[in-house]
Amino acid sequence: MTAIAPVRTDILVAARSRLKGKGVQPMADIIEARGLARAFVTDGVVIEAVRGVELSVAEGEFVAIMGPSGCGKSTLLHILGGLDRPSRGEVFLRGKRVDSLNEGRWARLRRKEVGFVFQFFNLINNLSAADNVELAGLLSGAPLSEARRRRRELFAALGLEEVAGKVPSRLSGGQQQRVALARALVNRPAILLADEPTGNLDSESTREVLNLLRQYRAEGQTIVLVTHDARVASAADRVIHMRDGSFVGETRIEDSRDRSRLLSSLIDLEV
Amino acid sequence: MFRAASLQAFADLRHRWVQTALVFFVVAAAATVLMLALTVWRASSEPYEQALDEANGPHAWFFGDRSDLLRIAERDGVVGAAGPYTVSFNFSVTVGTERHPVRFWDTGAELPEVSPVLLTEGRWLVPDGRDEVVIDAGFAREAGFDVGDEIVVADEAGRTVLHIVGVAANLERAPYPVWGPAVFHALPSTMEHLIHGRVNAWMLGVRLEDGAASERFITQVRADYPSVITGSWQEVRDGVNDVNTGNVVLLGVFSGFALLAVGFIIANAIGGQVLAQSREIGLLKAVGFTPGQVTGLFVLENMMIAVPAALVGGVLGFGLSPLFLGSVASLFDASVFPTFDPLVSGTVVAGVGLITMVFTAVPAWRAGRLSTLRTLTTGVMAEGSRPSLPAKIASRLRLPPLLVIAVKDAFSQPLRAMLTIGALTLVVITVAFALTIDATFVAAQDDPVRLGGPPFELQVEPRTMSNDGAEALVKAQPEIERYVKRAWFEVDIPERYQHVGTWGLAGDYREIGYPIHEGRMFSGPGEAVLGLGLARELDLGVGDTITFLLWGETRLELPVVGTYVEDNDRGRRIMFDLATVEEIVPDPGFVNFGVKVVSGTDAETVRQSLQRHGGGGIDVDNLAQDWVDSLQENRREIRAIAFSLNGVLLAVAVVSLLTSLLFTVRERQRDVGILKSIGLTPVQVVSAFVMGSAVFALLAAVIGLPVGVFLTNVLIDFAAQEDGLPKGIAETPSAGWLLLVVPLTVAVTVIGSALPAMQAGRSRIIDALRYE
Repeated sequence: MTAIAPVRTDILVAARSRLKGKGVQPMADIIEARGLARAFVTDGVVIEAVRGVELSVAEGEFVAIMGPSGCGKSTLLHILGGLDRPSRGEVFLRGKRVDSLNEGRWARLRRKEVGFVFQFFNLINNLSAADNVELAGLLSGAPLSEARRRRRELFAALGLEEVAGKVPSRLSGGQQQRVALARALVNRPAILLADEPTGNLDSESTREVLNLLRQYRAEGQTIVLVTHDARVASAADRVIHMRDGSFVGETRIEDSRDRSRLLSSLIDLEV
Repeated sequence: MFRAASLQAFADLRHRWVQTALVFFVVAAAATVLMLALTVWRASSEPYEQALDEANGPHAWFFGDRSDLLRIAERDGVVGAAGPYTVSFNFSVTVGTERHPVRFWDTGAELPEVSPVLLTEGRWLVPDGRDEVVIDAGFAREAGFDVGDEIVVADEAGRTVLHIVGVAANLERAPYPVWGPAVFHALPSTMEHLIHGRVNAWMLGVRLEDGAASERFITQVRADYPSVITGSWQEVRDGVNDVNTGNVVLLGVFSGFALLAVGFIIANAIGGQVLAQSREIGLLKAVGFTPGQVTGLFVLENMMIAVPAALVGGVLGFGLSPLFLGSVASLFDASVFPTFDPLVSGTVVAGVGLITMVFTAVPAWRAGRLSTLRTLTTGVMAEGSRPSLPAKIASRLRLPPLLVIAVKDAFSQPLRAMLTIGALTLVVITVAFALTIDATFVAAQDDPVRLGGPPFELQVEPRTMSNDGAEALVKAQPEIERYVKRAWFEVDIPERYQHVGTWGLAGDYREIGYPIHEGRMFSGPGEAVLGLGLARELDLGVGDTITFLLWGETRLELPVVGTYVEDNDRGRRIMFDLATVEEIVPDPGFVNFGVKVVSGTDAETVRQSLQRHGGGGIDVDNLAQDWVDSLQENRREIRAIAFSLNGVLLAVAVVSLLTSLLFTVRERQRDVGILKSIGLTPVQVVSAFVMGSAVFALLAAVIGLPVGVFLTNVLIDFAAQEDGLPKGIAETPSAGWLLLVVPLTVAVTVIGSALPAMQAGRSRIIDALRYE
């Protein structure tokens, strides 16, 4: 593992001050994690992938969790979305405790409250792009007409109308990720969780996807994204730095200058 | 390279031990059924042939005048003789309400070198053993008598108590009650007491230099002694085989289906294995396996399962064969286990091995052709370039999303889906087969004539009463609607070394209702109708002429005006008006009367009345009831076998489904993870897989039921032809029974899919998504 330089907290402090100065009230938290931990046991060896994480994400916020490979960011995201269970700690979704829900109840909750976008898209290979998205709509209980209407809207917004009838293997990486995004958003979830959404994309597709995420953020969608890519992280309102399973710092981004500064510092950090 | 391949193969089999065990089970099951079919087919008559050898028994039998028989015994080709013995008919033993006809032979205190019997229990008669009797082995089992019991024998003179000292298999006939009457053996002194000087016939058995040429010998004898009645050891052997003919047909059919099902399962297993191990295949090729060697590896792996499984199945089948052969074997005091025949065992192993190789070859060849790079990098087969058509159809039909998912996953590998449906369809076909056969039996009970049963209810056979006296008695009964007088002859078909049983009829033969298949009943002397079996054998039909020799010398040529359905002797019969031969045979020796009772009258009551009126002078049999009883017994036996074999095939199909689903679950692990991530609960995952299997079951039922009924009709027609019966005797099962197969099949698939479905439901999302 590469040695990581000390976190630049000065940017973080400056960002928080500007918020207070502008009188911005913190919005209600969509998701909150308290003392979250996740340990794996492999051949008798305990590995703590997540250690004592505290996290709050307000409604409408775009948060990026950034760190090197193996720092536990994906594990954290999976716990937040109910794909995995924490070893310790609590998770609240819209103020309701969810970490102890069984798999069935989490599944029902995920249908309407959580949208997931994965690095490798995770589309069903033998369903068309349209069916992949409509299926998610139908599972949440929407009638076919409604699921189809929402799908069409999303496809129009995402530029996917031409490929609606194609299977994922016939789509480019960028197209697949946009279909995955459409699937994640078809039920207007409370929170969108994205695990390295651009990890498997070329630069142009990366830009497309990031623009889309910003666009939905601007429309009020709450997004938590994990990435190891500084450029991707810089699209967020807030970047949380993670190392060895713990948060080690946080940066709030108000404007493009903050963004550039953050980007530079993060790039420096990476170097 | 072979060693490397073997190492790889062993490792694969151990690693996939569940799949290995499943494939082993189904191959062994198929081999068991096949071995059973072949063993029963080959060995049905083995006990009889062994007994014939052991007793040094006769190859040919003759009944007739004593002086004729003595001369026959001296003919060229005869190496030994049993008899002549006196044969006395018209005895009976009553056990409860059952009356068993019996005939006696005065075989004497010492069995000759050429023995007509094989003693199976107790001892033979002793010179001073008055009132001792050795009874028929088949009768002993049927009526429940043992050595040491007393037995009451009745005839017109009264009743006699005899002491059973032994039980013997009679080599002159198939076991009672397959062939009746039962044969008892007593000393001449006992016989004298029984028959009061009356001798019905003499019989002789001869052993020939060339046992295979018995038919030719018999025909030559008949040419010289036309009044002698004959029989050959081959006829007896065929009669013994008849005991198991139905079983052999059933087992043969099920063997075929089982082998097909095995083929489907193996192809399924191989196909799934290829998909699951595609990365390993890539590695093998990367380290030096050629495509041909990869193909060979798969074939080797499956032969390593199939050959031992076939051997195990062969041993099991051999071990189970006494269930079918034991009844006949016990009668001849033979081992219930047939002789081990390397040819039969080799056929089973080779057959199963061939099926395995054939159904392994194609998917194995595909495995060998997989692109090394792609399998190493992706580890999965090429993704489809089109959306799932079944899912599309399901979606268009507005089916619930769960069912759409179920259909999508079930048909994700179309070939595997087809093979699984194929295996299930085979089960449905065999269930339809069993149901159709059962329905045919039921229909036959209601209409025996259709299947060659007697067109009259009762048979009156004169014992001590004259033929005219018996006829007068029949005519005098008000409950009798009509009757036919039947005189039995055996005739020869020239240049075919065949003798055929023949009835000369008089009386109401046109009205009594013989089942004419084609043409018409003869309307007077000079015409003939042929049993269907004989007509087919001789390739004769309406308008042709049948030529035969009566008593070996009188040549008769009669135009064939019709064919009729005859159950006995595979339909090899001729009937003509008795007046045709009245100048040649003014007083036929063997006569009986077929009697039809007035509609609504109880035949059994009439039988008892006739018997009372006739006293001991006649024997009256309820032929119709006997025929129905025999049919019911056959039905019970065939039902037991058919449904047992159905159970085996069902287990094989469930295994096929299980194997298929285990692969599907493994392949769809990623999809399951995705679906769970977007909101599918574990229960819904289980339901989706179970629903997919239910779809297979529905398709199997929809295809299998009509195909099964159709195929059974074809099979029954084929069997009917062999038995001299007409086509079209199969009866379609009721709609209720057929429809019941649908939920039953669905239930079976639900059971078979439960385990892998629950496995899928329990899978962790994160593990599934990490699969990539």
